[in-house]
Amino acid sequence: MVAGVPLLAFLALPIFAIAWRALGAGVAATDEFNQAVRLSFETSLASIVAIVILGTPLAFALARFRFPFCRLVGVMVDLPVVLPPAAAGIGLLLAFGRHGIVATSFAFTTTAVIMAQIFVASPFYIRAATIAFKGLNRDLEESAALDGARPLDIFGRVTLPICSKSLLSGAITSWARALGEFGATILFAGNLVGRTQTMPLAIYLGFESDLDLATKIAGILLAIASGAILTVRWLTDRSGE
Amino acid sequence: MSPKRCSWVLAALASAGAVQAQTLTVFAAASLKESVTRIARRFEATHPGTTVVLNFAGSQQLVAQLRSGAQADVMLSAGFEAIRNLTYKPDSLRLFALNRLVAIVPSSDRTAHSFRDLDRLGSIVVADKAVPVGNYTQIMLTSASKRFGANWRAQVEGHIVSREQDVRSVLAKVELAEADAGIVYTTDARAASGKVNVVPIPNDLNIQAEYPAVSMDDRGAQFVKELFSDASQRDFKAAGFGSPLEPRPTRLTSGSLVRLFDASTLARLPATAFTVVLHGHRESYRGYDLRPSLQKLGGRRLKLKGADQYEVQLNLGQCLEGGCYLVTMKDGNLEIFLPNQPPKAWVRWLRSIDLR
Repeated sequence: MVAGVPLLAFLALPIFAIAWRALGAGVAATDEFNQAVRLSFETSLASIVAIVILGTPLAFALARFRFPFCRLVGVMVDLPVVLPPAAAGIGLLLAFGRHGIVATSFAFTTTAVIMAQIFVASPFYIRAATIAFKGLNRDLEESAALDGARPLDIFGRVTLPICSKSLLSGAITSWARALGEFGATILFAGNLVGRTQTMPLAIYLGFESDLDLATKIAGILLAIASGAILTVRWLTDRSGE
Repeated sequence: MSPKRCSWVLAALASAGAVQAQTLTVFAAASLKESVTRIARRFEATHPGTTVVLNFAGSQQLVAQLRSGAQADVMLSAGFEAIRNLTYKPDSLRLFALNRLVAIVPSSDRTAHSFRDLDRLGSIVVADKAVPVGNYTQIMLTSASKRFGANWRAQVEGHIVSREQDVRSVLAKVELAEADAGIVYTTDARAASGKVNVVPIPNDLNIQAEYPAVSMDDRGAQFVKELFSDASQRDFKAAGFGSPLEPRPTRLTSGSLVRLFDASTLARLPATAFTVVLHGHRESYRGYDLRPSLQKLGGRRLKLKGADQYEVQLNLGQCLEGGCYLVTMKDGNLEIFLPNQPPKAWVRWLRSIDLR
């Protein structure tokens, strides 16, 4: 047990340092700060809505069906978890930039921020949802089918409600990841106050000019991350009952 | 270890210096990447056993790292502002290179733009004002808006889609043609020649970016010395940097009379405090008031000439009215300040004052 202490201390100390400094940093909320906070919440909420709407069918397909290149699709979906976000940013530029494979004019817009967040954060939701759909006792769905329920009704009235806690905890983890997204954003969306400068970008630039402000934003993100983890824990404990 | 033994060990290490592996850490502004990398490789070749570790980023970011405890022997900054709060060896500051701004457009854009067209380009990327190049960009745009109008400035600002954390990120985004234009240093545009097209900025709107080097210890000072070797200065020149000028005295001539001023004479002469409005800010300086000397010598016209062949002609009366001060520049050269004249009349690296 004692052998675990060094790593625990190593993990805890930076967290403690941010909390300590952030509480001490009595900075007046500047306009830049307010805009970064607002933009972060707006974009990450938009991202998580898109991830849930588009990710749920994908996760269901991955959990229930065998289709060509099924494994490859699974790998593709997981890849952004381990891919460095900066590489993701380059990829997004080359794919969706003005001269990308699918040429769009999204680069340097708020849409680009959301795209970057979806790219890096969706695996967390898809993975959680896939596991939930796989682990579901199929008897319930089958008996509903025997009673004459249509497939969409079964999905909406049986599958989703039973998996809801797992899906919610997956969505929270995914949202927290979207909120913290930095590398892909700075490359694909750039940095402009009010349009693409999210909280993590404000931390990075604040580190150069206003350390107190940067610490304060880091403190907020830390509080949100802690809240997210606690909620997820609580949800998983309950769903195990 | 006792202090005595410690010093003995140090002495042994010093005597073995030639074979002792040493690391020299150089923090340098992103715009210096190619030239300083070459200089570092040459330094390693001429100092066997020394490994030069290079860290390139925006100057402001490097200083933030240093202030948070990062260790470096040398800091090469893209401006004086960034190193203002940095602790370094006193008197180690040297100005080693100069740079200017240019606008760039993607190489696919073959239109012959003039700088004034900047307001017609759809998306513009600049550096954040936290880094020196971003600060210079703001100053340059302020002077440009005086000529092209506030509306021009508003158009340009409205088209800015990103404020990047260093100059190379600006370059990359124009290279990829993700933005229609960017503002970078001349040297960055040259490093990417073929990949971007250059739109020159008129001389009188442009700024002079100065690169100071500071060292934290003796090893760092050795590297700074290397920056001034002929080979290094050739590298800087090839990259497109301007060369800082050796301090030379300024000659004040009136007929057959010649008087020489330099940094050390100015230090002995009485200094007067005065204020000027520079880029919209009121700034205070101290300098030697030339008016009594000029008045005594008399004449009608004043010809000012800088080491870069820059020349300004003025009425003596104008100078006597608004003030005329000699100020020592950070590199030891002299500059003339004429508070009631536009800043373009203030000749830097002043070499001669000719009174007729």
